[in-house]
Amino acid sequence: MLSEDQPHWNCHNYSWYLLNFFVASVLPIDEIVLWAHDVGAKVLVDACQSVPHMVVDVKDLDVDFLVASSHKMCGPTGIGFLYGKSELLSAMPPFLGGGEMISDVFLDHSTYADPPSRFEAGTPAIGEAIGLGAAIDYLSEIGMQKIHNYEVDLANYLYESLRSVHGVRIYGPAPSQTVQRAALCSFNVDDIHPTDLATFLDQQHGVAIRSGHHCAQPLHRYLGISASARASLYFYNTKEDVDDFIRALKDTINFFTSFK
Amino acid sequence: MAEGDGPTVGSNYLPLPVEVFSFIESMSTSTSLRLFSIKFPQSLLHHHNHPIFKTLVLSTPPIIPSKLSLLKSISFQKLATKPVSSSQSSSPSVSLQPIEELPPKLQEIVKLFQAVQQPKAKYEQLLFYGRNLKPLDSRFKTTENKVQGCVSQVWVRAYIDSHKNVVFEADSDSVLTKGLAALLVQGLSGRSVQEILRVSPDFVVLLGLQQSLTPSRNNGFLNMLKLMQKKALQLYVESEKGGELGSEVSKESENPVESSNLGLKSDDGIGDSKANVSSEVGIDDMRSNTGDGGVLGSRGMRIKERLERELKPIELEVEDISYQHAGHAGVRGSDGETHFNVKVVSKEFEGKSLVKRHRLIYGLLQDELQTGLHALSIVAKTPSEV
Repeated sequence: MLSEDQPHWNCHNYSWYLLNFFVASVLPIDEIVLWAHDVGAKVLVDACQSVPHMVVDVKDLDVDFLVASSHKMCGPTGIGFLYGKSELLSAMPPFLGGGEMISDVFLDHSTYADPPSRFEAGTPAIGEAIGLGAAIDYLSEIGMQKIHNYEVDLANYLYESLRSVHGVRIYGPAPSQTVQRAALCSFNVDDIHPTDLATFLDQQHGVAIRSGHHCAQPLHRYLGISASARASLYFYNTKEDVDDFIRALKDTINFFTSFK
Repeated sequence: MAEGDGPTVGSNYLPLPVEVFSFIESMSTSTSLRLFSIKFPQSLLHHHNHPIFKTLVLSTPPIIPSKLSLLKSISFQKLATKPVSSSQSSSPSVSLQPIEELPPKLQEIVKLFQAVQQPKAKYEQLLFYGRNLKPLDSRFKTTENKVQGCVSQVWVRAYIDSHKNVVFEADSDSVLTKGLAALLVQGLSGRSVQEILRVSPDFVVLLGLQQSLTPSRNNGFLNMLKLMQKKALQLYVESEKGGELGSEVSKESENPVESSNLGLKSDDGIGDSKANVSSEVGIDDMRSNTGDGGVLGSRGMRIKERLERELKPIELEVEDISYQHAGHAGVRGSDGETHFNVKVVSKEFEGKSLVKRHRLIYGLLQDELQTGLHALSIVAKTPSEV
């Protein structure tokens, strides 16, 4: 994927994620978009994991569509947004009928409103939208670049701290000059099931991590593992949080190894 | 709207409860949403000695803008809510199965866990059980033996011994789950089928582990128990047949058998096969295989026969799912056969709305409904709809 050669693609639309939520790597979306446009294809980017953490400039990337969800960016659940180039949206028919999206209605046909109303049938999720607006204002006030820089720092700290724990295997690339990791680590501990880790960390130490497939079963299969644990941070976490986590993790590992 | 009209005495500002917002909006002809705040002076409310979120009684508000004068006679009462108990699961609800009804080994285990107070110690206890669990040979780690709904992998194997008791073996790749499996194996293995089936899944509350187990783990525990009960039942049914070769599945009204180890046997005195519409209802309390993926008791058979006779279906499936509701208060006191899934495909439904179809079926099964049948989940289609 990162080679200079252009891949041969046959379909017309591509959907990509910008940031991998499992291995923490970032994809070169700008290149992908270039290649796609060359063959006349459109690109939709799923930026749910990236919009909250870094600067995403849709004009720079020249993506045709971009989606993100509110609850991953400090907003309420039940709402997200779609960005799309105006000419593309105007050319698309509605997918859902209802109030507000129509222009004129006859017994045998209707004409439709312009986007965005065209795609927002019925009474919208007003409360949620206001909540999302507040979240966006909050993040913008802090500044996405500032958040991103802070997180890169935190990501490195998490990675290094976790690596120091004996028996831990972290998935994904190591942070370096060219590779920036997201502030998360998916990992496994030798001979301890991730769900055991997560349960004990939660109940005994009040540390919440996720365990299971993380909505990435094929990737797990590829890596040859049945499940994994994942610790992820956001800009409200601190290095102290990471220290607490590592301490709790070590205690948890001791507990389970003492039973072998 | 009263935006900006409100009094702005001092800097005291109290937002109105939401109920007032929606009432005002309905009075106005504007449809756009606007956020506004009514500024009440603190003194007014202190005077009435009512905290604002509890009641809002505006009896003499000379400074309230005219539009709000309609609110004079409105009062908002705080609804009485149930007090939130801090330890909701510590006191088991009344409908829990009494501990004495559990198999003796299981009673012991429950008492042991109840005696251990510290969550960490409970974990240690759980791990201890898991460590002593007899390992399961890998050839038994099949899909049929895998427990669904577990984040980790759990397998349960069951076989029947010479005394017609069910023996269980289990394994898991997670040590906590292995501990749970070991609990069940120790508590249920070597017991009779009836005893195993009688165990209600909510005994897990008695263990006091619920707080220490995340909801998904609890589900895994329930599913483990259910799988063990299901396997026990299957083994029982098979052993009742005594290895007798069954007749072939009739293709007419039966759907493919989901469990491959169920054999079939034709019932004596009824007819050749289940597919025949028989007017003889004189069956005794025999357990028979039906190919519906389960075993039907006498009520299940009666339901089936009634529906067959009256609706002449081209497809009929009756499934006893009472075991899924074993914890219900509605089930307490019965010996099972309280909840069924029914799927009927019949010409009788043509021209009838969904409600009418359901009513028709309920009408046919009135007797059962009055003698202990608790609930039916119905799928009713016409031949053309299938």
